[in-house]
Amino acid sequence: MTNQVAAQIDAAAAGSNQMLTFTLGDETYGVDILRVQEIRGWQPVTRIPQAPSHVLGVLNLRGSIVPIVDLRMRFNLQHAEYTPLTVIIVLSVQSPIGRRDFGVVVDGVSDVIDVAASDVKPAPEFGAHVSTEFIEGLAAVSGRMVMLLDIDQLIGADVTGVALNPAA
Amino acid sequence: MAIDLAQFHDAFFEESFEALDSMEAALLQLNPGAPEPELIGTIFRVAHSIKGGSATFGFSEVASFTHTCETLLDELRANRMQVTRHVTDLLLKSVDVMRDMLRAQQRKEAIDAQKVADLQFDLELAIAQKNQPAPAAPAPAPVVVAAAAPAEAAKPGFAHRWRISFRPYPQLFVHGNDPLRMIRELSELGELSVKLDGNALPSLEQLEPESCYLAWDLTLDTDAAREVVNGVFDWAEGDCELKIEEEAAPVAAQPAVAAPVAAAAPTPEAKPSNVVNIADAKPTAAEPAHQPAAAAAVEVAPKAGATDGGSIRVSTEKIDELMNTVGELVITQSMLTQLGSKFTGHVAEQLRSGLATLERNVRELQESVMRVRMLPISFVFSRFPRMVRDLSGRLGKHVELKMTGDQTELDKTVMEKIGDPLVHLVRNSVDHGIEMPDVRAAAGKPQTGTVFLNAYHKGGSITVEVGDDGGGLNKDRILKKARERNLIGPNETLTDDQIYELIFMAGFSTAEQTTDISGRGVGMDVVRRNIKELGGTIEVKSTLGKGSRFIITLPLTLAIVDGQSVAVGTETYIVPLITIIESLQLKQGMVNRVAGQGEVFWFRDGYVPVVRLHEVFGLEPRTTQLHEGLIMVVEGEGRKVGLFVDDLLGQQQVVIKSLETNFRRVDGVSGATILGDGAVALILDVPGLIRVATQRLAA
Repeated sequence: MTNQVAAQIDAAAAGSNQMLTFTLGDETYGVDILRVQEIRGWQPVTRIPQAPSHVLGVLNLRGSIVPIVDLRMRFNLQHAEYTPLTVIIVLSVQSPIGRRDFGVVVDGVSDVIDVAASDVKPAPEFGAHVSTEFIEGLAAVSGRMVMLLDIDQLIGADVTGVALNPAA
Repeated sequence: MAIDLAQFHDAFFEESFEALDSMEAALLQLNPGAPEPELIGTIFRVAHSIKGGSATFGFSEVASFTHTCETLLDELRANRMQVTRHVTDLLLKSVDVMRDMLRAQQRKEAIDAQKVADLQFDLELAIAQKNQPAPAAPAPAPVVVAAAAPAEAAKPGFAHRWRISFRPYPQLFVHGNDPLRMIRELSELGELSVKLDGNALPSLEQLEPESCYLAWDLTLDTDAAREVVNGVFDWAEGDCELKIEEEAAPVAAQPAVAAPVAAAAPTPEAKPSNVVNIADAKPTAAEPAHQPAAAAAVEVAPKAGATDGGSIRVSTEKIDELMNTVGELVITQSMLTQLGSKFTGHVAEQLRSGLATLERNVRELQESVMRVRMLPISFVFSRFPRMVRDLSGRLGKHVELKMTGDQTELDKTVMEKIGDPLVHLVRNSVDHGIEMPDVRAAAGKPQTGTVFLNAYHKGGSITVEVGDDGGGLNKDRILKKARERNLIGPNETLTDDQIYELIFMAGFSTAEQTTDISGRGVGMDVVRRNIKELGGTIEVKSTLGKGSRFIITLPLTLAIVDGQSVAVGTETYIVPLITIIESLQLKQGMVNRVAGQGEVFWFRDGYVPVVRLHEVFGLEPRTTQLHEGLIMVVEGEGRKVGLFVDDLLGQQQVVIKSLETNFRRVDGVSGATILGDGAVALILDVPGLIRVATQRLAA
């Protein structure tokens, strides 16, 4: 099963890829649409003690307990108030200990776009103070720059409690 | 069209293990001297079906060993052999060996061949000793029992006369074959005359007891066809030289088979003194030994007392999934009920009545699913008769085990974890509790001590009692030991309950002599910890000279916990009810500060530290004033703390969900649950929380 999904993703990555884009402040980010489980409106979460500050807490997603990550806090952006328009995107990641579901809080969902593999450019190095390890690449779509997120890298040890194997 | 037999292996192993359990149970019920034929029949069928199964799947070692067992059992069944304690012991050991062998096969590991061979030899010896003259226990010279061997004249009325030359290789016994049994089987087919060839027998000094030196020439007048005769020697195939030839029998209705008489039967010159007649081995009347293995398995498989209606094996994962879905259904239903109460008008009444029906159905569904996971505790209890028997034998004590309530049901996951603590307690009772027979007699008690196991439901939990009518706990000795080990101060005075409590402390063992059975001081504290981990409690009651009783209370299931919901700030937490001792409100001035830091208050008979939940979890509480909130005294791993919360909300049963499915372990939290409004509440892990809090205080 897992292999099939991975194969699908690989196949898609070779040609063009459908990406779900969302905004955080003035910036636009994209995630592979095959990883998106659900998009839902903001609702208060249950806090988790001793969790990193960007892990807001957990939500009940049809019976399973799903951690929620605030991407603004993860990227050290200015904190925004949660409004009814704030959106939670539920994504699934492959971690060394199996599939994990988690939600990310974003300002709003924009669009679904097709990104050709050839349009994706690697993220430039900014030096030590800007971490780009979870940016898979940059794509220019209709004049806007979209940052494509590598969510497996993004959601690592702080959610799963297991350090990600870089080779995985 | 080859069928891959491997796909049936799991079923075979599972069935075999179950069958061995029932064989063990039957063996334990077996009365030496006056065995019940039905029990022997049961035991025999188990051995037979395992033999058949393992032969089918090519586990030849198992098949060969089981065959020897079967031989012995056959002797017992035919009353040719007495059921003695020695024989039962051998058979019980055989059960262990078969279990080991099957387990080794299952894990594809090597079988402990030496152990198997040793026991197999013992079994054969037992068979042989009961049946003089014994081919397996070679005598210096074969003994003539009766020389009246009607070898010459062919008996009329039989279709065939088979001349059988049976010359086993020396290793015949190693593979569990018993020539005597084969010969007896032949004798049941018709008229048999036997000539023993003992020429190869060495002198006594050179004799290897595990080798076969004997050979036989047999003449069989029978109606049985060649296949049947051949079948008798099936198991010995490869272990002997076998020739079966037909001699023209003087019978009119002889079928015109081209018998290979031409190939001259090599009848060796057997000395007259070597002729042994075993015709006195009477064939038993009913011999259901050859009923199909499948039929035997069906008869054996149902557990004692288990419902003998149809049953299916379902993986626990599937049941868990079902439980999850039902849990969801409960939440959705409660949401709908809340919503339904807001409607007004004529249709709303119908809606509400429909919702009420839904609620009832959902609850029934939830209970049914819960019950699927429930198994009778006899699954755990069934190992004890054997254990008590073995232990008492080794210790030279007379112990009787009484078990009641073994049909009491509890969750499978709880059952899996309660086995070891119970084994420990029962072992302790036999080893330390019950006195030696002479001590008992001197104390005016019956020589046979009693260990009892009792299980029953009480409220939403199950209580298991392990007790004995032995010496009871010796308070003075416990106190002395505790002082020696500095577990208590030299002048401390303790209540009885506190003294008994000491035996649960780590590194405590009062046995004067530690034995390999119990008493290494790693016992009772582990027992208590295991039970606590299950959310249960253990207490002890004891009277010196009369015996002691351990009372274990466990939740029926691990999937649901009785909880008290508490509010801290905007958050709701669930505290497992079993950890709560008391909830109280502190008045101003009741709290003292230790070294200006830790807050403590006097509770019952000691000072208890205050743990502010909002501080541990970093929350914004409604109040930081202790007298404005509530203190909940909770206990974990023997330590009490006063948990400071804003408010108590209510008690409810909650379904436990793991945080680790999508997140990771969190200290002080054992899981999460979904409340009626769909929100998530964390369930506190009280022992973990106390650890976290103490670390904070220490830091």
